[in-house]
Formats: sequence, structure tokens, C-alpha cells
Amino acid sequence: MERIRVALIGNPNVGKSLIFNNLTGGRAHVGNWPGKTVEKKEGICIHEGVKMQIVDLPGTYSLTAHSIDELIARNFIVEEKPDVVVDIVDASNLERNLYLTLQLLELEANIVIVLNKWDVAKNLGYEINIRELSKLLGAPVIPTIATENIGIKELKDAIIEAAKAKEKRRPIINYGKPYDEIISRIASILQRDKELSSRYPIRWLAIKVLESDEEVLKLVKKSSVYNEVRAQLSEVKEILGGDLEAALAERRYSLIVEVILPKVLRGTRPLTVTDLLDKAFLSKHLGIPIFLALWWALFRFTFDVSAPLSDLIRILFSRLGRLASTHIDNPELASFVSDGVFNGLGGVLTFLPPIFFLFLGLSLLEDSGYLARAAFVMDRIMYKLGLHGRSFIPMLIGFGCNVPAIMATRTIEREEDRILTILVNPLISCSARLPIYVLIGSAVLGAYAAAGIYFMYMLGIVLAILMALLFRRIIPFFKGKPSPLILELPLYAVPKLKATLIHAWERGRLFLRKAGTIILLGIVAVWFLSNYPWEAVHQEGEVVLENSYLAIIGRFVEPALRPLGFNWMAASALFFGFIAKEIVVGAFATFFGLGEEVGERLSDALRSAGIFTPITGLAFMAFSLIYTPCIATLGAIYRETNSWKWTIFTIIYELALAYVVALSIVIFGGLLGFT
Amino acid sequence: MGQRIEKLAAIYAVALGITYLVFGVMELTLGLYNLFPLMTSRNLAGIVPADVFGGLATLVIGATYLSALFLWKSAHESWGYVLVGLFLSAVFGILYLLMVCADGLSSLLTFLEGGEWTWEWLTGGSAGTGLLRPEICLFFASLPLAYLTLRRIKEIYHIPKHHKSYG
Repeated sequence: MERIRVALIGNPNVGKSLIFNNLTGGRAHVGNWPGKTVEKKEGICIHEGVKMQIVDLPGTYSLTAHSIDELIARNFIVEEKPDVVVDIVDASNLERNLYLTLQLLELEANIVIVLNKWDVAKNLGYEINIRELSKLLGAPVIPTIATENIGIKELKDAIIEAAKAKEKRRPIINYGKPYDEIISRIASILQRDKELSSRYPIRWLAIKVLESDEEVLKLVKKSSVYNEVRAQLSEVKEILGGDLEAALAERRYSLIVEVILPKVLRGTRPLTVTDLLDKAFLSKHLGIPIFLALWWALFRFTFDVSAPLSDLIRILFSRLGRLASTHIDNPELASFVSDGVFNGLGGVLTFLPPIFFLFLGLSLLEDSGYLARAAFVMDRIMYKLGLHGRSFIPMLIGFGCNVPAIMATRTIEREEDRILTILVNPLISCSARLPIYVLIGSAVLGAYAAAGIYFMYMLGIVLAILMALLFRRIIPFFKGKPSPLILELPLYAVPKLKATLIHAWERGRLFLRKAGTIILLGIVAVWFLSNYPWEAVHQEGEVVLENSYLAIIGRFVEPALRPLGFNWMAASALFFGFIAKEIVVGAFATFFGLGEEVGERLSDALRSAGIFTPITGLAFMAFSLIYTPCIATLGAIYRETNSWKWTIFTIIYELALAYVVALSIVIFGGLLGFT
Repeated sequence: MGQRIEKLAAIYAVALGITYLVFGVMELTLGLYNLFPLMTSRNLAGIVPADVFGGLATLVIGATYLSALFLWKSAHESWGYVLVGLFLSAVFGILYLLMVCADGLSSLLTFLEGGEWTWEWLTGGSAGTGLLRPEICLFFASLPLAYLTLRRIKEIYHIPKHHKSYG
């Protein structure tokens, strides 16, 4: 069978992931906001006896070397040389999308152009002359509606045809006399380096040299012709002066707006419902209050509406636990199955419904196109406070899990902004912390449980912004002004139930997988440490937890946490939460499965035990939010910063901050008369 | 005809906005009042719940509706405020209805587990005042405005925002 390699590239939010799924039958996450694909994904498509290896590259507006995602996309095309590059263009926004197309043509990639969102363009009243566009760009153009799988077969045919033709597309940009002359001059010098000229398109290299592209300059520095190139470049800069990169970009846009679009595009953009909605959602005065109100609705939905499902799971596991303790004769095995597995793991799984409801709500907001607006309205505050506007997108992803959120910082161009965003991202409440809030909130905050959870989420955002501001002020590495946010706002869409449910499931199943692996292991460890030495803990039918190994660990940590009002049980739960935050809840479930009435709500058991007051409970929630990230997040921080220094710094500053915030809650709560 | 609808919608939106604001202030005040330990917890006449964040959210809905005032001057884009006000009304109205249903289900589970059956979820529970929660009633009161809005939006949908044409 013939094999070809195909790369998918396009601006963010053009429907690339959806086309990737349509081609490969995959289930890559698709959402109505930019910046989901931060790494390249691969899949296989077999069509007409040809096996296509499809690589989905990160969404990018250009092929400069400003951010990691742009570099990933460019390096793949330049170094890996795929047989065909499918350039996915938003048909409703040709002006901006064709910029990337022109850069691909400069790279002499064998491109097939896809005009996706064809239906949206039609609805907006645009008419696009496909034949003329194909003639002007010198590449096949295929209209598609990826949401309905329309045009995908034609796309597969076009890919195979392009791969067979093996045509190098020709750059069509005329930069004007002074620039074209200089490009030719530099190109002729570079041509003399055989290695460079055999590996890269020489005209593209010359343009990048002129743009002072750091990555290309690094390549050229190794060449024997470098001195000549450098001499030319300094001469050119003296003559033309100014920002050459900006000047060349302007030429490309002129070609699009003045030459291409007048020949291929007809129509006038009408007022849309998106424009109307944005009037309020992006309003200077109402934008942020509306965002906060919707967030509040999301947490009430998460906390209150999911409650009966949590009750059902609790009843199921408590019955299983009872069954195990009745039917297993060996007391150690019975305790392991009943207290460790069913009560411990069941205690964590009780929080599966709120997690799914949270993801369902987030998916609805995302699929409707609102989340991108949330990033936009929050940018106003964040930019003023010195945090990069793009940081809010990783923050939103952080509400699900901090690991992909930290990876999503790759879209941030400046290294300083990127590392700053990574450092504060663990302060955003991931879904693993939700069970802790729900448990402690239900146990001690009564009618204010939902408000307590909401407070934690807001506290996370506020602390992240404040810490970013602080770091920017006091750490020299971060000094300077962040670059402004450039974010495409997608059209609003009515979320499709099936797609939304799939998104919620895809995110929620990670929790299930975690529950079956690391959480289960953690809970088994907690069960072992809280039951052994067996004879010392189990005395004449009584369970004396104080004699367990866990109590030894807890008591070791307890003195440091005593000012916060946490006893040894809370201390040891936090100790194990370092592995995965959900284990904090599993630990409490294991403690109160020992000797307490089976089937009782864990929150009720916790309340009866009197471990927390409303204030120390709130302090515990805040401490769990802030203190050291879980192991997986720390791994992601190390990978993305490539530095032990920043990883250890994150652990230390978060522990200190957690302590200060929790202590402040206890002190101020006490001063206000709460006990 | 269009202008008449716009004036009618403006009056209706402002009336709804004021009602939301009044209830929002009451919920917020009661919530803050109940927050302090020495004060006793109480819902006003079993209708207005003590809910700090819920009250703030209700204030936001009210402010959004009030921003539609410029419809009086036929400013088409002010329909955006009506649409978002309606959207928020629906979100919170349906949310509180779902919360009442969830409370009902929890009561049923407790009953099936051998607990006592109560009807408290209908007038209390996590929504504070159950089905009497003002946002539920105001959601239904917003429906005539939704009808007017949809009718008018269909008419103005094709008004060009700007006349930038490539043709």
C-alpha cells in the first residue's frame, strides 16, 4: 500500500481538529475557542488504497519563530518535509487566514487549501470564487463544512492527487523593487552553501534572514557564507532602516487585500447575533460581572444539581462495603476491602458527578464560544496587572487539570511571560481539588457550602494574578511589560448535546482512570498506614487510629499546621494529597470507614468528628487549593521550564503562600467572631 | 411597527431590570446579614432567600436588562443587552428549577433508604426558597420579552454592521 505523510495546518479555531477527526476517525478535542492543539497529533486515514499519516499541527497565525507552537508547526514542514500540507482556511475570514497560506507558499510546500466553515461564509453573505482563488494561489482549493463532514471525500481525493503530482508550489509574492532585489542577492549568496540549499527553500531562507528570524540566523551562522550574508544584512538595514519584518508582513497583507480578495470575494458582512451578544458580553462595565455571574451559576450547577447522583454512588459503595465486611471472615482482608477499597475509593468516586457536571458546564460555555470572550474580558484586568492576556487561556484550561494548562502556555511568545504563567497556573483550582471543597464545604459551611466553593475558585484566580504581579515586580527575570493579547473571537454557536457530552466525558474519564490507578494506590497506602500495626490499632473490637503508622506521620507534620487548626488527621491527609489531591478525600473516607457507621455521608461523619470549625474548614480548603501542586503538575512544570530552579521555587512559594492565606483566614475569621 | 416593538421591549426590559435589581439587593442584604454569627438566619417571608452571590448575580441580570434602555432610541445594537439579559434569566431560572428537582430526588433517596419523607425541598432546600425563588418566576416573566426579541431580531439580522465590501 502506498504511504504518504500529510500535515494539517491553519489559524487557531478554523476547525482543524474537527477535520483531523473527520479524516482519521479520531477523537481529538474539538472546541469553539482557539489554542487547543499545543502539540502535534497523529492519525491514519486510508483512502483509495493510499495510507495517509495525518499530523495535526498547532494552530498558528504565521510561521515566524516567536512562540513554541509556531516553531513546532514550521519545523515540521521545513525539517520533516511532509508530502502534502493541508492549509485549513476559515472561509468567513479570508483576509487574516490567507497570510499563513502565503507563508506556506514561500516555504514551497505542496499545499492543498481547504476553505472550511463554508456554511458560515455563505450565511454571512460572502461569495467566494474558488476557481479564481485556486488560479491565483496556484494550489487546489476545496470547500468544506467540517461539522457536517461535507467536502471531506473531495479533500482526501485532492490530497492523493497533490501527493502524486509532487508539485512544489511557487511563491507568488512580489515585495516590490528594493526588497525583491535584496532577497535575490541574499539568496544567491546562500545558494553557494550546498548543504543549506539542498535542505531549505533558498528564497524563504533569504526572506527569513531579512526578517532577522532568530532560528534561521542560528542556521546561517554555521554556514561558510555567513560573513557575506551578515555584511549584506547590515548594508540593507542601513539603507532601508526600520523594522523589516513588519515591512514584509505589510506587503503580504497588501497582496491579500488589494490583489487577491477583490478578485475572489463578493459580499457585505451583515449584523449578526454574535455582534449583538458581544455588545453585552464584551461590555466594558458588564463583561466581568456577567462572567462572574455565569461562573457562580456553573458552581451551583456543579455542587447542588449533582448531589442526588453522588448520594446514589455513596449508597452503592456503602452497601458493597457492608457486604464485604459481613462475608469476609479474615478481619484484615475484610478491613482492606471494606474500609480501604469500598469506603476509600467509593469516598472519592462519590465526587465523580460534581466533576462531570463541572466539565459539562465548562464544555457548554466553551462550545458556545463564550470562553474565548471570558479570556478577552479578563485580559483588561490581567494586562493592567502585568500578566500576559494569553495567560487566561491556560488558566481556564487549569480549571480542568493543571497539566494540559501548563502545556498550553506554549502559545505565549515571550519566555518570561510563559514561565510566569506556568508558575502561577497551579493556583487555579483544578477538578481534583473540587472533591475536597465539596466534602469540607458540605461538612462545615452549611448553607454557605456553594459560596465557599465559589470563593475558592475566585481566590485561585485572584492569587494567581496577585502572585504574577508580585513576581513581575520583585524578580528581575520577569521585569518588563507583557505583550498584548491577540485573540480571535469565534462566532457563537448553539452547543450540540452529543459533542458537549463527549467533551465532558473525555475530560471526566481522566478522573476515572486516575481513580483506578494512582488514587487507588494512594488510598491503599493510607489504609495500610492507618491500620497497622494491626494489633495496636485494633484492640478488642475498637479502632484506635492514634496508634497507627499514619498517626506517627500526622503527628510529625501536625505541629507545623496546628496554628491553622488542623489536627493530625488533616495533616496526614494533606501529606498524601501531594501524590494526587483526590487522595485527601480518600484519606478522610478511609479514616471514617474505620469504626464509624457505614453508609453515613462522609461529610456528616466529618462534621460529627468535629475536626473542623467553619473557619478552620475554610482554611483547610484554601490550604488544599494553594499548597504544593501534585506530582503530575510538578512534572509538567519541570518539562515546560526545563529547570529544577523554577520547579522547586513553585513548591516553596506555594507552601508559604498556602500557610499565610490559611492563617489569615483563621485569624480574621476569629476577629470577626466566627468560631 | 419595528419602532413600536423596540419601545415596548425597552419598557418591558427596564421593568424586568428594576424587579431583578430589587430582589438582588434584598438577597444580597439578607445574605450579608446572615453571614455574621450573631445574627439569626432567615429568608424574607419564605420568598427572598439569603444568598450573597445569588443576589449579586441577580443584580447583574437587572443591570443587563437596564442597559437595554437605549432601544427607546432605536439603537439596534441594544438588542444585545436584551438577548444577554434573557440568556442570564434562563440560565438562573432553569438552574434554580434543576436545584429544586435535585433536592426532590435527594429526599426520595433518603426516603427509600428508610428516612422520613418531607416536602421541604419544594419551599426550602438548596435554592433557599424552593419553587418560590424569585428568579424562577422572573424567568417565566421574561418569556414574553423573548418572543418580542426573537421577532425583531429576525428583521434586523441582515442590517449591515459596516459597509466594508470586497466586491
